[in-house]
Amino acid sequence: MVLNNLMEGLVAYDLTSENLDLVPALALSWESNENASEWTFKLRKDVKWSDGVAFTAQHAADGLFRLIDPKTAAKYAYFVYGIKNAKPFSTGELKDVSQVGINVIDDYTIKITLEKPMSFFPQLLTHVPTFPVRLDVIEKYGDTWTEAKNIVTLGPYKLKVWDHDKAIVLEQNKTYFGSPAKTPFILGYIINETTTARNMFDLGRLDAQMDLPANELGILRERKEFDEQPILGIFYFGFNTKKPPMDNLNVRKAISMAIDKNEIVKMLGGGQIPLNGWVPKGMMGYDENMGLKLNVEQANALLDQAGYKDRSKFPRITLSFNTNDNHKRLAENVQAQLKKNLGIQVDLKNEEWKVYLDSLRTDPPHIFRLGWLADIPDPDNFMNFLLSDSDNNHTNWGNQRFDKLVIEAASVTDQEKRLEMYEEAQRILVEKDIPVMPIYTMVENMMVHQRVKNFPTNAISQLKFKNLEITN
Amino acid sequence: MSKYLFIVLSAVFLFTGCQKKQSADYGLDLNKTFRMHFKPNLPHWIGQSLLIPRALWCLTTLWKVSWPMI
Repeated sequence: MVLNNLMEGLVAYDLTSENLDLVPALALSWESNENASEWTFKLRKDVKWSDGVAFTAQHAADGLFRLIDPKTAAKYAYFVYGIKNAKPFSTGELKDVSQVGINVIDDYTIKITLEKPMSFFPQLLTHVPTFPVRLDVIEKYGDTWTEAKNIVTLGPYKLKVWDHDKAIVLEQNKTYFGSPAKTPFILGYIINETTTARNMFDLGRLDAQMDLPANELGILRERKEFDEQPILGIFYFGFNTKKPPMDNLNVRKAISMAIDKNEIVKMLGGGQIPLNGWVPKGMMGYDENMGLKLNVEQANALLDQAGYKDRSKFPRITLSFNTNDNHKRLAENVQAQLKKNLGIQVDLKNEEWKVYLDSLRTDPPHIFRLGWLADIPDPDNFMNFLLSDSDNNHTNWGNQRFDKLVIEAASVTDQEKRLEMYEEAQRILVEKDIPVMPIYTMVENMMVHQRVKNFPTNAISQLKFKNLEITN
Repeated sequence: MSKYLFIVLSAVFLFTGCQKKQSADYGLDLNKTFRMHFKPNLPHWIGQSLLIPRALWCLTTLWKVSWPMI
């Protein structure tokens, strides 16, 4: 959220358009060769960083090189593995950086060569990890380059204050190349408890709050400040497919068929849409008939087949979630449903976000909750993080056919053919192998004070504040 | 008398020090500021644990200042 306001990518989404059309940002124009395997971007010449240094194509190239540099060990490196030799360079197999398909043609032209044709490549450059960087600043300040006193930016805002774990203040960047931000300051209070934030909203100390307390949604929904926006995001549970008894496919299927997702969204009361397939409602490839449906009788039969006819022999399993009121309520609901529908015991465990991520990396529990928000509005984005070599795949699951389909679909320019490939890939995920259990398509609930105009809601949840206005 | 002053000042200083950041507006003109709830990326306890060194620093400073009076 913060970086989307401090920085810019080469291209951006028109967040006011229904289809999220691409519009120029740091690039004035872009074009590909005939089969979309080479992309050339012509950059603006009037952009300056906040320290007065002129923006050039080298900064754009540095951003991409840094993302795939093995020393950076970026979680999102896989995101640009479509660039020629980006993957072998990122994994350390290739040392010669000149072999990577990122070429600075001149100060204002950059050419990207891909492994295979990719019709949606420019969309990747709307995503924060691909944004330009200043290597000289990173080298000068080391780990503290992102502190307010050190960071240099080129977006509509500058970082004025970063009071760690308390607040962030953004200040209008007067040297921004586009139309200036309409509100001079953005003050973000970093608050863990949603009820604390809601109290502050009621006291007039917050102008907007997203992530509302679930148990108050019924009341908040009646207020004039309430608003909601369906977004391209999913809430799901992952299974650690190597941890018994979750290594048994019938167990994973049984659990997936024993959960009533309608009951969950009703309990949450936030307008969420139950999901059985993998891509969210509103995205290409969404199919409401895909995936396993609620069927308690069949779920029990599957658990019997898995060797647990005597339910007392079924080991206690752990369901983990990161600390959050809403996640807790949902986890408790799943725990109760599995007890009632399958007669199995589930222990709940919650951890703070960073600790939780470490646990998922080192020793994922039997079942873990996660969400995925679209980085780009394309099904590839929901598929490729479950590739067998993705750092974001915590299920210990991999399927060669799935990998092949997803990797090849990214380079297919025929949209119907792509859809067929994604359909098969989705069925592997949610009908055949079941490393994941989708729960719902997300809906963003928010409270926005009446004095705020143009609050930036959109389907990909990119909060860009430059057009937001405060009326007093 | 000075001891009591030290205790009272310590209590006030610590209380306001702990509360300050929760309500800070960073000297901004609120008519020109949009204020929003940001979700944390770091564990909650890290923020809380910073209160301990903050408190120790407050106490040490106050003790140094007050010592000549006591």
